[in-house]
Amino acid sequence: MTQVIWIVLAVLVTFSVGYLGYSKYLARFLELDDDNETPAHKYEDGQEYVPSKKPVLLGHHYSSIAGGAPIVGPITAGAVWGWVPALLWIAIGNPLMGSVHDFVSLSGSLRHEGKSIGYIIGEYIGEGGKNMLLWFAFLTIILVVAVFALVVAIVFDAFPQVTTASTVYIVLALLGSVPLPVERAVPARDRRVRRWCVRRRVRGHSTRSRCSRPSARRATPQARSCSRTC
Amino acid sequence: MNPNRAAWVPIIMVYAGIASALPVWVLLQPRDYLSSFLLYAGVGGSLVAVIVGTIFGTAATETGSLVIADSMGAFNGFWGVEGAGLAPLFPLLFITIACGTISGFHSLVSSGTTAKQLNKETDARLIGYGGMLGEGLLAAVALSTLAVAGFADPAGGIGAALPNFATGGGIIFTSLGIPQTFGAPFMALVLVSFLLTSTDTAVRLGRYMMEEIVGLRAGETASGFNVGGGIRSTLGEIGRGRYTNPLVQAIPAYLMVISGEWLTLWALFGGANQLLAALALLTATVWLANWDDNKQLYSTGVPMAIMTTITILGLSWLAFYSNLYQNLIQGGAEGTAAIASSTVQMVLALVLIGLALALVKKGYDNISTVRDRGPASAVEPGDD
Repeated sequence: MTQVIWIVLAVLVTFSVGYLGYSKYLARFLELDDDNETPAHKYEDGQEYVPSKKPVLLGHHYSSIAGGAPIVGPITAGAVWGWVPALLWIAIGNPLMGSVHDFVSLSGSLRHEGKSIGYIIGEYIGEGGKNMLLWFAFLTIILVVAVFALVVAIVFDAFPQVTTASTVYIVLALLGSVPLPVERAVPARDRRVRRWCVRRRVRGHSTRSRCSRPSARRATPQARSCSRTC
Repeated sequence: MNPNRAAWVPIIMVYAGIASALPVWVLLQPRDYLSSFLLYAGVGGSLVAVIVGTIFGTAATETGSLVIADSMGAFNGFWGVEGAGLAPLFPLLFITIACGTISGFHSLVSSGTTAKQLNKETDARLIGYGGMLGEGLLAAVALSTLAVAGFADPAGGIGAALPNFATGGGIIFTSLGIPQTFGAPFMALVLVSFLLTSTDTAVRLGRYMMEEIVGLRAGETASGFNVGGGIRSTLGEIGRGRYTNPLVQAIPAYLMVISGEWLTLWALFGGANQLLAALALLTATVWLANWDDNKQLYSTGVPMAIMTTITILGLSWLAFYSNLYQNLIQGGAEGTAAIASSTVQMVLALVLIGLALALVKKGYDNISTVRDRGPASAVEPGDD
């Protein structure tokens, strides 16, 4: 009988080779250099552009990317075609393609002032390309909503006790929002302003440049205080 | 669809809509913080449990060690297990695994928030490359849970395999002395927390994208076209609105779910997500080509070409075979709801393919222009 540990070991081996070998080459190839100033330092604003320690940022990044999909996908594929082909695609495809994808997206953004891939492609192939990418991502998101709602429904149906636990969990999170020290330290009005600024940034203007434009400063009361707050 | 599941779907969508409209600090931030502990406990705990169980034989199974269940096939053949419908391994396996191998959403996270917080450039190696390897590890853990629990019920549909993450996780945790009645619901909670987090984050991201798309349109109409402008700006308001936008997303989403066809919908999501990854790789390739004439384009270009091919073939199979032929022409879809479901899925797949091909064409044109004029433009100034 085959031990389960072989699945874990196979992945650990190819991932180690990828990390110690290929990613080192890629870092040289992308000319990553600590002497270059990163966007976090260049545009530091204490809200979105914040230089963070490596382990802290790794934790934040990891919990943002790791979700339900890497659990559901391999299980579905393993059940349909068997565990060997599923394992091979993860063990080989991840270090050669998936990790490269994440690495170059991050590095590309670093070299474009921390802007999103939509802006980067727009910069080279024009506004039309950017809009096409945005529409593409939006339609993909509709699919995410559809499929994840279905998965949650399946799990709730199979494990009713999880339904209760999830509700308790959401309530805990809601209660947890009250004593967050950072947010408590900021008065409500400033918080509104901050959110206004953040929203503008999402539309692609760095707060700094937006706020420093005289027309923006005159436009609304929020924008007036914006120049001070962000 | 099972009536229990059918009842849960709209409730979950309403939750996601509300959660996405709340300010981030009310629910999203504290819940992400709590989730990170679940994540570490789930992934780290399972890895440790597999290793401990193998070395010390402490698992609560017949032999005491963790072995791959008999009902779990190593390889079920090109067309997949019985009961899964006609599912060719190439290209469907590759898009079904989705985020375990490559995921386009990561480019949105990497370039959206992480890049703004990087302290040193060299940190990108651990966080970008290493972070994704960590996700692959989660995929391997998921595969291990299925392998331990086995998959004996193809008749129950592929959806029946999902709860095996919890069942198998419970068995794996017994090697650490944790009873299965505790371990299994814990793993189910881990799964559901991630899914709920991802769902409302997705609705929120969708709103930001809509804001960006219609924001531009509204600006254009304001400068002229008054007749169409009224309608278009009204549509813009609906798309932009904090409370109306989730509806724009939830209605087509609900239409696609209602047929309850699990595998097709999941593969459609996986394909779209990986095609997005191909487009992010295209962006990187275009950037590298413009950056320096001497940069090789294989590291990003080859995965881009592979993923574009696999996903477009996969999405075409889903659109033309699963939805058009099986469901609509052969009458696999029974009732108005199922027909609407199949139609929406098919149209969506075709629109995604069209958008991606147009983008790849634009990117290719850009790269060939840049690379062709590279040496020439270096010479021209000298001639002047």
